[in-house]
Amino acid sequence: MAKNPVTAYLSSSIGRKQIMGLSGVYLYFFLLVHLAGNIGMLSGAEHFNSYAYLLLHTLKEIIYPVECTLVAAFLLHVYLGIKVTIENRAARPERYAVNASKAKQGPYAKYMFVSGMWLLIFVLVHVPHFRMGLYSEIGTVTYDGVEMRDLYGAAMHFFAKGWFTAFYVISFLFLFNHLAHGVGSSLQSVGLNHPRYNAAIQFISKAYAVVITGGFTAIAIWAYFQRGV
Amino acid sequence: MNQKLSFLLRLWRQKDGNSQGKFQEIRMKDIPPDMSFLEMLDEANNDLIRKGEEPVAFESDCREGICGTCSLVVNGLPHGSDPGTTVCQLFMRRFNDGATITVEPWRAKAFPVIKDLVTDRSAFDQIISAGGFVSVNTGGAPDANATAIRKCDADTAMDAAACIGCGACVAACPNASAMLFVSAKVSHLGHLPQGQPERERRVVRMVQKMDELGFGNCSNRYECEAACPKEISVEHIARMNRDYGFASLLGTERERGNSGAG
Repeated sequence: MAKNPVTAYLSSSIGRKQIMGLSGVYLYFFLLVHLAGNIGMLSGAEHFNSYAYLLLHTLKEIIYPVECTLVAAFLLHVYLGIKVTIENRAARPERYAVNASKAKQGPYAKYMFVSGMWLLIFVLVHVPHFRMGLYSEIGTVTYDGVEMRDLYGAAMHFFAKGWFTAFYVISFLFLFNHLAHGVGSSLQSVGLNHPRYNAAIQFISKAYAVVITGGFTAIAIWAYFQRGV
Repeated sequence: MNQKLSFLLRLWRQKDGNSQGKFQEIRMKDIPPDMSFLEMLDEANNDLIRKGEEPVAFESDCREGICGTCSLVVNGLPHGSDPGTTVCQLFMRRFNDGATITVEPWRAKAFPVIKDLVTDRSAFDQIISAGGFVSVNTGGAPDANATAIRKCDADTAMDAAACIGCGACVAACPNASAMLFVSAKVSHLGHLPQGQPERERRVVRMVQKMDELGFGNCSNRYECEAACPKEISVEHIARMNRDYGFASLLGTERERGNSGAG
């Protein structure tokens, strides 16, 4: 009985792993763009608010479709992560009494599910706060006669709270863990593994994790110390 | 160096696949350091037989590291702590005097326990039957050297062919995934000219069978590579990922083996 090649691929272990890897690639490149935009906060309210206005109004024909694909990639990534983890646990019904490891890899791979679940919670906190503005009325400011959301003010309002900043910093540690394994792993899943490049792939994926999470953490801590400024 | 060693063995005892298993503790004394791990288990069994108890069942055959029959998880590590060896090549000098040694069977849904430390690894045979072969038509044997093959391809195929199918990769994988085994077979035949005609069909069918049998999914933890007595590289997994993606999405129906004769 011939099965449709696409459904066969999508239901296979390798196919799902590759979709998970590719959705991960999309998400981690998004983080780079997100970080580049957020660095604009350091230039002050007018610069940052104008950047947000540019994205959400001037470029809205581009941003909304991009957001839809991001949500789709995120949901797919989460769905596959949970499904694959459940299957993996079922593949070893009786656990070992003694656990040991010989692999030379760092500890990051072990915590992909835990860090992923934490990041899911993080996104469920982050997006309503900053994208949807559900938890606090985001005010408006007017520059050169154009009225826009005061996202900078909202960020300063949220990050002035110690627990909020702490939650973000902890989330970035989980993000570091997730990227430190995920960036390199996504390449292995789609078949990019070559002795000539493996050391470079490992280095670049760790460096990428450091840059992304370091950047976001620095901005969060900087915003916290802007209290009362 | 000829000091005799003593150990506390914790051996997994399980009557059959349907029973609950538990550990049996056995004290071993006067073990020479140069005794092999399996010889030490033979001694433990001799003690059990002398006491009128049932000996512990475990598998072994060649006892020289080439057949892939022995399959013990020693202190949480398939084939024990030495790199690139099977457990029959593990020696008691590797353990500290007075150590507790826990011995478990391969644990995976796809490798059910038959008795004690013996598991049913016929799932691997089913994967091989699904595509891990080269079809050869009858006729005169081809001349040696008639089929040209690049040295680098012959070498990679040989590296992959070193797989003895012991199942340590499945036992070591946190997800009980069989990817290293399957990829070694796919790579071995996929690098040889004789393996080309069935290359796409082979990878699709073998992966499909592997998924059906209840092995877990690969999450790139690389425990398999570290546990493999033949040091098969996860590079083969990447190559299989690549081959599978192309073959399953772009291969023709006939190439994928879903229609037509054969």
